[in-house]
Amino acid sequence: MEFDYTTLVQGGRPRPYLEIKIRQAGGTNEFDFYGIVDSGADSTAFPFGAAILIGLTDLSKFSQEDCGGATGETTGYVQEAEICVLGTWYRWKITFLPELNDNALLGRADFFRVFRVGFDELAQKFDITPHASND
Amino acid sequence: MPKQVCPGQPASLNLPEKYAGQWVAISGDKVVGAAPTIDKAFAAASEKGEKHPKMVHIPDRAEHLFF
Repeated sequence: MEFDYTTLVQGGRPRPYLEIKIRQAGGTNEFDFYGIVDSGADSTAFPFGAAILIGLTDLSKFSQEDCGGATGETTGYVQEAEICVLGTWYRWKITFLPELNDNALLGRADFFRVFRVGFDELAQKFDITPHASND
Repeated sequence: MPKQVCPGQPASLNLPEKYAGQWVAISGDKVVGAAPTIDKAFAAASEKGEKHPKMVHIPDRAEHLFF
């Protein structure tokens, strides 16, 4: 399926966003977010505030991972959650980052394993196709 | 062939610059809360009775390049 790049602010730069949903594993408290398709992200990450919104508030239930990014080193809090992409729910290990004050990053260990991704930067479009086996 | 409409295609919000750098809570096509942090934007929406707004971070226009 082909998508247009999305501009969020007047005069801003169009980027490859998808509208996605997140909820706890087995939960029903869903929130819609925008996620940017990011081949530079090792796995899918959300701001930690998203974890709180869906009710993941017990820090003892997260595993902690050292994470690095353009802004330096930080601690990621990892827990399974469910992400809805194009109407299908996937259960992935999501890294919630207190330092990420931005939209979700759809990364390689999960999103890119489920979808084949292509970019047409000149046309400002991208294309995602589910792989034959999506488990 | 008509263009395929996909449920994952986000709206190009094109919000005014006053929202740059903010989290916005959106219900329908209206901004129902805005704040520098996700929890405060949600709280603002919640005060208006919106329990499940769409949460979107609006990039700062000054952030021309993203890495």
